[in-house]
Amino acid sequence: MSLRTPLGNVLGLGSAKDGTGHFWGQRLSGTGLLILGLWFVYAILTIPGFAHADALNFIGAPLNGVLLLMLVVTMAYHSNLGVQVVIEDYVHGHGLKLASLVISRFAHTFLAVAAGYAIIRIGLGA
Amino acid sequence: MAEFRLPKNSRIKKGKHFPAAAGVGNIRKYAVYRYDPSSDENPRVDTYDVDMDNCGPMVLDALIKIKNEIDPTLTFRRSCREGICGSCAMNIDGGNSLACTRANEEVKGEVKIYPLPHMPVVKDLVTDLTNFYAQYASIKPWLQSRTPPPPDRERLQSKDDQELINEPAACILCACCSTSCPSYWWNSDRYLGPAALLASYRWLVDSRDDATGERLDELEDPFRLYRCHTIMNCTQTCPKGLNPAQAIAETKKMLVERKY
Repeated sequence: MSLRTPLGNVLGLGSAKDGTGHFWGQRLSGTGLLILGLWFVYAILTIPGFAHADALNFIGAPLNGVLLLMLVVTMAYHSNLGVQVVIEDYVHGHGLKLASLVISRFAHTFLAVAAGYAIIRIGLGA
Repeated sequence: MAEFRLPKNSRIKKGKHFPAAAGVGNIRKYAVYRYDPSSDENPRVDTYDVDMDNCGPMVLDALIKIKNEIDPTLTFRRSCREGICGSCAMNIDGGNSLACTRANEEVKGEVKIYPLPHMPVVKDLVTDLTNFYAQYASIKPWLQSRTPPPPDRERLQSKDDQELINEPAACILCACCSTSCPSYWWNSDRYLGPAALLASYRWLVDSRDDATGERLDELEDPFRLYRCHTIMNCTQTCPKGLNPAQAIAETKKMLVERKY
């Protein structure tokens, strides 16, 4: 039991003076995902076929490749921010919370880089 | 991790039934949460049959009648009985409200009454609001001005300036909003909650206050402010019809405005 004052508990370690970038980034990436998502649905509906060669042709087209890259990077960024909020909301042990945040950040970075590498590789015809 | 079940000693058991006297025709059942920390017993829900022909129109009238005539051990806070002191805030029929302004006839069937959710219970319907009041104190709810007041009169405000603070200043700190917010349930140790943030907004838009920047500095925090996920329970439940969710959204807009 601590005899710290209630006000002391509320003030804690003070304001982190942070969070607005996260808030703005979440909305901005959400808006970007809306636009890129609409393009992706349109692109999938109009793709000539779903054979391996069709997929390579589609991803290999410069505009498609760039937009796909933007889509996976934005998606990973947006998802990372969202998962971070969920972890901060529900995981309360300090060590477990920090570990979850690190794993989430690493996993999202890995997914973005792996998907980006695949798109670039196909785009360059490697 | 978050706990999704109540601890063993908090699980609610069925309690006693207090039947009405013989010959009473117009009976209404009131199911009321009971908890006495001085005993080792779990919380229970007692049911009271109330004679509505001899009872006032509000839920608070029924509670006072129960305490006076049926069970004097029932404990609850009340004072003004006209919706201005905020003392009788409790969970009625599944929503937070003031017992004094909630009419019995607005509730269908059995009237279920619980303390404000997710707060430590002192006894029965009385919750411990120490942390809630400390959160209010933390936002410095007073005028901070570096400008000396005019020597011959009060600080002036335009009508438009006054209108900005009319609504947020009408908060009575009953805690209905904060205790209806799931984000506050999980993180009330660090999230200030809608009531404190509405109070803070009242000073952010006060034309006489010179500490807007410092106030925003103190609020800009992933937990203090940004735990609000716009769930809107606060606005839905406010017994005074205020809109804390909008005040929080406006505060976030101010922070974006000064950053970008």
